[in-house]
Formats: sequence, C-alpha cells, structure tokens
Amino acid sequence: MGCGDNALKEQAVTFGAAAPLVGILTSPVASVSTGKAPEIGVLLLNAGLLHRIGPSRLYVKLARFLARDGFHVLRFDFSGIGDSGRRRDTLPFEKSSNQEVSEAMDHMAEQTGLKRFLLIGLCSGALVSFCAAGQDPRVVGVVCINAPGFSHIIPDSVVAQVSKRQASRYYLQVALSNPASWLKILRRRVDYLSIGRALWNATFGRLQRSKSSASTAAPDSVAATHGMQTQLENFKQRGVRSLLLFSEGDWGLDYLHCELGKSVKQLEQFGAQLEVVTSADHIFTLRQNQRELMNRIRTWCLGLS
Amino acid sequence: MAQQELEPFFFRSGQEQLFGCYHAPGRGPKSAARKTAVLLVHPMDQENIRSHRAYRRLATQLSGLGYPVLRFDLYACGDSEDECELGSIHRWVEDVAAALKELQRRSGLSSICIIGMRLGATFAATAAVEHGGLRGLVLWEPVLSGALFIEDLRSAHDKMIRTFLSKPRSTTPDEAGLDIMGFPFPDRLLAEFKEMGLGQLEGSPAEDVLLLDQGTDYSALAGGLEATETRLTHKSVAGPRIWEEDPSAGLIPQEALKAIESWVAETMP
Repeated sequence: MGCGDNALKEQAVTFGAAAPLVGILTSPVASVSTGKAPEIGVLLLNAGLLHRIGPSRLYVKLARFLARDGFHVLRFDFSGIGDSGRRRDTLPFEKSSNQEVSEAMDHMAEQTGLKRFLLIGLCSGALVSFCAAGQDPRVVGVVCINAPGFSHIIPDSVVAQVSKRQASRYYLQVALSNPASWLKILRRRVDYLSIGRALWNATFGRLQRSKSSASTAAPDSVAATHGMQTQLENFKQRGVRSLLLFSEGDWGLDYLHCELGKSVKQLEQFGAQLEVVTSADHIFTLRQNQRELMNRIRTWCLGLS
Repeated sequence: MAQQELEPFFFRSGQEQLFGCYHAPGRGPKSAARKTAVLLVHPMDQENIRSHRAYRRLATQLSGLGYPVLRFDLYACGDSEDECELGSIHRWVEDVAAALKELQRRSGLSSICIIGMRLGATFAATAAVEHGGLRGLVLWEPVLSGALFIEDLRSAHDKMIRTFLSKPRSTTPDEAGLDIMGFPFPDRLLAEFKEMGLGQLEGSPAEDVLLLDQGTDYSALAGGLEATETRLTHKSVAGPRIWEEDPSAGLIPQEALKAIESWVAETMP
C-alpha cells in the first residue's frame, strides 16, 4: 500500500483477542532502504479519544517520517476508540491498554520479526506509554509528549496545586491580552476573587512553593512521586530510556515539577531526558510545532537505535 | 482473534491509495436484506477528526439494519495517501466516484446512497451530478461557499491562537503554504476554494435527497433542489454541531444520526 513515497508502504491491520483492534502499519521498503535498519518497532498510542491519525494528523506524519529512517511504525486504536471494537470483558482501561499494547507488539513481531519496541504517545497516550513500558520487557524506550501525569491516579493535592499554576498562567498569558476579557471586567461579569487568587499565586506562589518543597510533602503526593520513581528505577535497571517532551506552560510540565520538585534535575540518572518546546499548544496544532516535535523525536529515536 | 465488525483496507483512486472501512451487512434481529448500499464520505482536516466517532457510530447502526456500508478518507486526509497540500477539489470529487465503484464491487449492489457531512456533502453532491444514477443522497450541513468555509476556518484559527499559553513564534504562511488549524492551504488550493460553491448544481443529484441542517439557512439550496426532479426532504435537527466540537468530549449527535437512519430505512427499504 502506498503513502505518497516509494520508500514506504502502508498496510491496514487487525489484531487483538478481546476486541478487534484496527491499525496501520507503516514500513520502509527494503529495496530502497539505505544503511543499517533500526531493529526497533515503534507504536503510536491514542491521544485521548482521538483516533489513530492523531491531532492534526500528527501520527500519520510521524509514522511516515520515522519509516523513512527505516523504522516500522504501527498506529492503532485502543478498544472502544476510533475503528477498534469494544472489549467483551470488563477490564478497566489502565489494564486493558497495557494488554492491548502487548498485543500490538505481538502482532508487529509476527509481521516484522522485531523483538524490541519503542512506545510514543501524546497526552493520555503518553501516560499509557509510560505505564505500559513498565509491564513488558520488550519495551526499550518511551516518548511521552505532554503527559498529564505518570500514574493513573493523580493525588487531589497535586491536582489543586497544578490547577492554581494553570489558572495564573491563563490570566497572565491569555486573558490579559484578550480585549473580550477586559470587556467582561468592565461589565463586572467576572469572579474577581478567583482572578485575585490566581494573580496572588502567580506573584507569590513561587516563594511559597520553594518554602514548601523544603518541608514535608503531602502524603498522597509522596505516594505518587514514589510511583513514578519506582517506575524510573525499573527503567534504569532494564536500560529503558525515556524522552519526556512538553510544550512550554503545559499542565503536564507543571505536574512533573509538582510531583518531583528539585528531583527533576536528577532525571538523567534514570535515562530520562526532559525537553521543553516553546510556542506550542498541548496538541501541537501548528505545523511549525509539529515539525520541531518530529525532528526532536527522530533525533532521539536514531540515538536509541 | 476477536470477531471482526469491519474490514479496514486501502483501495485505489487514480494512482493513489485511499483508506476505507467496509461494514458488511449485519445479521442481527433488526437486519433485513437491502437493495441499496451506503457510502459515507468523511469531511476534511479538523472536521474529519471531529466527526470520526459519529461516522463510525452511523456506519455501525446502518450495517446493523442490513445495509452494506463503506466509509473512507479523501485523498491526503485521514489515513489516506500523501499530505494535505497536494489535494485539489477536482481530485476529491473523483475520490467519491472511485469509492462508489469500490462499494458496488464489494457489496454486489448497483443502487447507492451517499451520506456526506460538510465538505464531504459538497463533494458528494458534485460527484452525484457529474456521474448521475444515484439512488439517495444525504447532505448533512453541506458547505455552500468555499470562500466562507476558509473565512470561518481562519476565524477559528485566530481564536485558537489566542488560547495558547505560550505564544507561537509566527502565524504567517510558511514555505509550504498557509497553515490553518494545523493543515496546509497553499495559494493554489485557496484559489480553488474561492471559486467553489454548491449553489450551482446543474441537475438532479439523486432520486431522493435528505437535506439535514443543524441551524444553517439552506433555503436557497432547497429551492434549487426542488426545481430538479429530486424528491427532497428537508429536516432541521438540534444537537451538537460535531464538526465544531472538541473531539475529546466524545459527543455524538444523536438526533442527526437518528434522522439519517430513519430516512434511509424509510426511503430505501
């Protein structure tokens, strides 16, 4: 199957034991590939409820981009999303997604003979990638793009803390530069108390945070941090490398800082690389942002292979 | 492997491959032997992504009633071949004709009803008039003016940029053409859209047409269709305008889907 490039072929595939899962396998054409082909398969995991083409068709472009470097790339839909069917069991998503990632790897292994895999996901796809990487020894790398967290359970205290930061950022970066917001203020159609709190937090929150990070963290925050650090320890022992990519100002980046505090600087010890892309929104809508994102991922993937 | 509900595949339109999903007629209690197959034409770009869930649901429900259904991505859209900037309006109209032939081949039926939303409807209507012989046509909030379509997209794009927490470096055209909502519109394509309109249908697009609106005024189009030999049904329904909604909300336009299913079952039993 074609995809506008003689160096690639695309094939519609179905697999899965508990639900019929649908995907597209993008592969390099052996006859035109040059150099040593990477012996790692790549899986692209759904960004929320968006079907496998990804936001603004990002996954289609990324699959073809990586395949030109010799990677086999599978973009597929989890059960109940896109073209995939519903499961007949009652397994919760945090378990069924791990199982379906393993089934996708089984299928790719049958089709391509590959034994090592790399998981890439945006938003909830990043969270699933991070969690699934801990479950299957075939995973050697994970790219998390704007992960909303690194555990399926986000402590309330962390949500509250991140929400404050996001509200401050919204008022400073979006609302203040929007004439419609000023019109609302003039017409007294705003919650002055919320705005005041958000601006107070933006001004003095950093000071408060630096003080609180020196003291004891909330117990549930410790539990979540422990979960992420356990996973990172697991990655370190297995040699799994990770690329944590965030848009500047994204919720997930605030979350990471809330969760790890100063430990963020020690991520490299666990084979994790943190990168921030400026001027991009959560789903990398603009093409200039997509190009930058794809180049960063490509560079990292080639380094891994 | 779990039981298949649909068959995903690629088929050819000209020299390129289009992605399609074939839903074989169901064998459930509501299923009946049908003489007409149904072709669903996806809209383009962001509207393609936002409508995917509703299209999947509609295809599943129609196949459950016994209709063979094919839905597909236009050239350079969705999972189909190539990148968006290479598309053209003429090409997308030809894709509808190619998909129609593919559905006839797979289903073994010559009688076809096409359902399209937004640009999918516009291209379907144009293809129907050009090629003739269509049994039914559903125009779900068709795009009447290409120029207005681009204007609305640009407005939505500007609104989106204002919500960025980190301002983009540039929103001006890049080397690959104008970027609107993450999809490229080179000058050539913008010029084509400027000329595109659905007001000038030169003939009857199908024996029966359902014009389904969700708030847009289609009285001029309805008047034009009534002047042809087409039997026209014009319905207005409430519910989410799914092509404008955030897809992460997972909304389904139930009233619109129900109206389409009922009309198809009554008109093409």
